[in-house]
Amino acid sequence: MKPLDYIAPLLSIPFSLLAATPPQYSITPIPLPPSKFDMKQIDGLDFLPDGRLVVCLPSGEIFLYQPKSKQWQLFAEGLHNPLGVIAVSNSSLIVSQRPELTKVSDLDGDGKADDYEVLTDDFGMSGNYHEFHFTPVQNQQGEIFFSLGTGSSGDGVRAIVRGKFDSRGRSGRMHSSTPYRGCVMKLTKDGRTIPWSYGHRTPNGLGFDLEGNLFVTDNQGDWVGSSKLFHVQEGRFYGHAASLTWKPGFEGIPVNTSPEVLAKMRSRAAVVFPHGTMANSPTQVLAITPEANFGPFSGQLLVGEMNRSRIVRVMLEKVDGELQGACVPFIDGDPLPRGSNRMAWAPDGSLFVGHTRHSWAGGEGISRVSWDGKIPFEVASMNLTKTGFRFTFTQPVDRSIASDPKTWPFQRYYYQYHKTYGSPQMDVTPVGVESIHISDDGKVVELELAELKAWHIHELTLQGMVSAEGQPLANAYLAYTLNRLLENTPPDPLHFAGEPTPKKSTRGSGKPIKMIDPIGHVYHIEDAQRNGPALSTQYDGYTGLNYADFGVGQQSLEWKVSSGKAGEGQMIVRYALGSSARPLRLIVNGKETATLPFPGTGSWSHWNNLTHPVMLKKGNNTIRLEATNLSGGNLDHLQIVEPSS
Amino acid sequence: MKIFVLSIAFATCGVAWSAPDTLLLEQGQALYEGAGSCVACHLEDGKGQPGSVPPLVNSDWLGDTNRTVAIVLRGLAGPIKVNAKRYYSAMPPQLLFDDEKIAKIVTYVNNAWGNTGPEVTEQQVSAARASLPEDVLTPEAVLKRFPFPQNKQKANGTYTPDFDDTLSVIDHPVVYRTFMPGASPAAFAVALPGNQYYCWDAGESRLRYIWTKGGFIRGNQVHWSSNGKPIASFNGTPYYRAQSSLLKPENDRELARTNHGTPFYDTSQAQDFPFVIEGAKGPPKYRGYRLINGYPEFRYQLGNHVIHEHIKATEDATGVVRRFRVEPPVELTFNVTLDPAAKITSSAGIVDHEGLLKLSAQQAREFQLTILEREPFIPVPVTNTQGEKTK
Repeated sequence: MKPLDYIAPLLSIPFSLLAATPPQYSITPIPLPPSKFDMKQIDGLDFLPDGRLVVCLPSGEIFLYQPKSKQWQLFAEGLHNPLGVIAVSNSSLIVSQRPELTKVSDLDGDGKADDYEVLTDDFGMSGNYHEFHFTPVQNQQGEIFFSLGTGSSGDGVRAIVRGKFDSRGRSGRMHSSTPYRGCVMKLTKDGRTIPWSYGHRTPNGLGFDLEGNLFVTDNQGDWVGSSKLFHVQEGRFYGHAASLTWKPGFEGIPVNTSPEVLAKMRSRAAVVFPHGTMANSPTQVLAITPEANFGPFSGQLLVGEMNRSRIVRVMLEKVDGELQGACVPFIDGDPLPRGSNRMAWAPDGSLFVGHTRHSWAGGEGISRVSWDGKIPFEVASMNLTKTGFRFTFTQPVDRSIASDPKTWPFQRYYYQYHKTYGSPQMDVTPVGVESIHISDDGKVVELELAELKAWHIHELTLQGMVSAEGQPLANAYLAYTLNRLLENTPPDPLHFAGEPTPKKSTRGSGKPIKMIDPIGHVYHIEDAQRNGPALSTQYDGYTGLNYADFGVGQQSLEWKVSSGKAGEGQMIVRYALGSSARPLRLIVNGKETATLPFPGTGSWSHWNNLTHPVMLKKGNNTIRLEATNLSGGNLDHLQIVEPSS
Repeated sequence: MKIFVLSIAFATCGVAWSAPDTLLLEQGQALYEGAGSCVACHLEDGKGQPGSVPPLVNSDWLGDTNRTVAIVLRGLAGPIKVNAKRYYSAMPPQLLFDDEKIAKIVTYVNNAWGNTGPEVTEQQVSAARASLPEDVLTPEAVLKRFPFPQNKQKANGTYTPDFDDTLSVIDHPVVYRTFMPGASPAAFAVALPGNQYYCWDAGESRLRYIWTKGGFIRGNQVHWSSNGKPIASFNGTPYYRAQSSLLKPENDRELARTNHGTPFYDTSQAQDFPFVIEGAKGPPKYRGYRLINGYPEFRYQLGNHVIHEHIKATEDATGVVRRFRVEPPVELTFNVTLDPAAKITSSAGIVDHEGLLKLSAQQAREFQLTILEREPFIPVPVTNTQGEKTK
């Protein structure tokens, strides 16, 4: 146990108090398209020039919606997980689906697509499920950008893969064994497909700002300490190692390359979304255009979030030649479903949001978010100054609250750069406020801080802030990614870490016990395919040779078990858990069937059995237990009791 | 305790019957296994086919022999649950067999594969034929006429089919891009009216295989609503596979796995492309598809030549017709890849014994390749099957 990092007292405040949809915004659900498959998840989403909404569904269906008549019409079907769509005309769409970027057109004018033209399939597919082909975006010049997800260690590759296989990219947690997985891609106007930037893990969302700068998000995981927003520039590397396989001039195996070398190559994120408080799985980037009827935030960016019901607002500024800035929750909580994955502006300037989940945390349906035209009380911008930050509010602030330093409890920290999953907040340090200056009109508050530290996230939750008219600040939690100072920025400290020291528990002196009368067939830990958990003998009372010690991250164990009969059998997992419950997902034959609670057993050497029914096929089955959030208990063995009839 | 054991023994005796004689069972078996008969769907081992054809082994539905006879005579159309599993395929009325033969068949089924059921008489079948309505039975009609005992009702009956089930009857082409076994990850699964199904691989611009029995791909709702990992599966066995030197049929099981460390091959190593055009270097480049009356016409490019491929079922639905157009037309060799289970003919030129079809530019402009499933070889039944009565 290491000593507790300093935790600022503000973290104990419930987040419902810190983030909320401002009362000037309302959320209404849109009726769902009549999917043949009863599919309620919405993936791609855009508006046609004639004002109709187009949506793509995970089932491969594409529907058009006439908002006036509230009528849905099937436009196309049979696509492979279409995750994004650009409406180029009233009869033609550009769709990103797993195998390609496709132009889907209605050539004969009967209202239904009849031509599916490949715009590009010049990228690889290993067949790994995590190799998503995320949404395409098109700039004013007609160039198209799209992004390719990496493969997951949750599965391997297929027998036949498309594109040149390179084993250098195959190792590691998230892999890139076929061309350009983990890249943002550009399709030029003359039809060339080129990798535009490298180092992306799960780049689920591209978007331009009003100046035409391209942005992409990424999800926390290996090499990504917390989720991020990058300003995409040609040839740059943004941190996730696997895709370096495809970067000209890069030699060696990316995942085995020294973290220091990688840290020196990487470009920093414009915005880091603190994990667990701001966003865990950011999605699309959408600029608030002058045409958007969405309040006094024109030019800023919206970023969707999968894991909670939230849309984040991003305020950027150029400092020392690079974009950086702050993020703040904006639309938050019920009735916005989780899984805000794709967004588009309706002709009336309201925001349409498609919700999805794809087996992760998320939601379903379509929401319309509209603004009533009254000015909300929000932070309109947060800018770096030489000595602190300048906050501009949409309305004058209450001067007495704003001038109290206790209103502004800053802290700063950084995330580590390493190949392990996620990162704790490092070096969390409170930052004092030295002086506060409020402008005459009451809208601008300048804070002088005791220290500004480059390459650190500066975060605060304004305490009790209200407007001069007494309206509470709906969204008071902000995080500013301070990479560069206005002047004299020190060199990037890189913040890399080598391999973590192996867990002490991987070896141990615990004493095993002999198993007595198992009621089913016993599968030991040694029989399981381990993805993450270490073998350990630290604590007493296990059976067999070892038990499995779940570490932090999405680790899993998978057994191949056989059954003489098909039907409902039982599984019994023997485990010990010296802390509070650590649930694990149960995946039987590739299908998630339950989340097993795994309550604490009181101590690490006190072993209990967890029994759960399991539907088995005759013959071979796979039983997989997967960490849901952070970790799991120590697992000793699995017993399978075959179906009785 | 003793009494309990005795009462079970007594009960067993009470419903016991003497097994039908061997000759009767052999005759029943021959009829069951005759060409175009029960075996075609319920299979030799009586296990049926998952999702489409219910099993006859240990089936609760055989618990009432009058029910069995009625279904054989009139057929059964509609989704049913048998021993808690769902089956969708319709069973046609068995018009080829007279009462005596039906009696023998049902007697055989009642006593095959470990089943124990009564011997059925010709008179029983005649009586049923006289009393049953003429129409093909629906599940509801069967359940009303021959209800299950209370303790079997949950596992046996009917159900409301979902979209996957309804795909057992194909009345318009269905095109899915999805993960398919035995193809690159950029695959198509297509169902054609006439219940011919094929897998076409955009990763190499080639037809992979064709099947017809067992229904179209299933389980796609699971596939689509989850993280997208599952590979589609289907119940039948392809009667035509376009082999290539990198892919051997014995790899079937491996070809459906997703968790390989390294692939068998990647498409940059692919070879044996079906079309060989002098001066045009492979591999072909996949360009897309056009729906013509719902049927996809694939297009792919080799050199400067675009090949269009359109696939339909034959009129009698015993196979498929692949129509090719080559633009601009050019002299070419088409490596058809033969399969012993399929009969392949071309509308132009001759497919030689190695499967090569050489075409002049004029012939290549538009030509058709017909692929038919060969009748499986089935031994002639040993019993005398003369003089079938009509009803």
